[in-house]
Amino acid sequence: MKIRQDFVTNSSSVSYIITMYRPIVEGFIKNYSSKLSNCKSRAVQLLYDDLLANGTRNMLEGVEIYTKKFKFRTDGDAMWEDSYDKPIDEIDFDSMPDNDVWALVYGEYFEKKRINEIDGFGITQVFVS
Amino acid sequence: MKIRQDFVTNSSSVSYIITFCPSLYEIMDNFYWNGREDKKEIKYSRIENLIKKDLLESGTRVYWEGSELYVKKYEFDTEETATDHMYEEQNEEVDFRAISDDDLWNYIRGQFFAMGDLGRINGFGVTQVETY
Repeated sequence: MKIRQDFVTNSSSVSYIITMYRPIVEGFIKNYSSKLSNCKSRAVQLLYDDLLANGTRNMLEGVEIYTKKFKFRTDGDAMWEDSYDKPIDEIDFDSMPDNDVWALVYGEYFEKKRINEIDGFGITQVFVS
Repeated sequence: MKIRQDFVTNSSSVSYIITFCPSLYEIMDNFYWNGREDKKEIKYSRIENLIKKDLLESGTRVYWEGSELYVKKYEFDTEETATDHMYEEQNEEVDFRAISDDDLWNYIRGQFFAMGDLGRINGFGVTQVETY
């Protein structure tokens, strides 16, 4: 039986707009970075750096908000903390390539919405375009 | 419903940007609830409708990253909030059919904005922006 792979692929594409208010995120990193797990700390820093370098700056009611849209496939681009073959605390995320950390950000922080745990970041799911 | 304000010991002014993508929300809401609207929890029906109405009526329509969103900044004092934790402490159960809109807004500000529950509803987002 022939299976339409393209349909399967398209059906699991998702898009999110990530919002960031820089001063609050910087305060969070300054105050909590040393207390976070290696995994979470790296994810937060990667996201912050990317929004700052590649995001769009918007002004809303006197507030400067950085935004960036992320589109990815849930069945191949994303990883959850329990997807790894080792306990998450035993993995060295500091030496991991950015692409692999992005997979964790997509799965654990976007799909599971755990980005809401990080002050100053927000996430809004939008249509896949 | 009476809310014990003394639970909040250090009141402060906080601000959140609320984002809303109506097209995504409607698609997901129809997908889950079309034809069985009565099964949707009244708590979420009322909260989503109240926030949606407010954003559509008084939010700003923007195109961020190619998507149409309604956004609005909400600024309030933490004394004007209620959370699940506060209700548990008071051993009080909320009747979401009977609660007034004003009291529901207190709950939305506390549990859905400040505690971030809104970010778990498809199509909505919440970003803390300022604290004084």
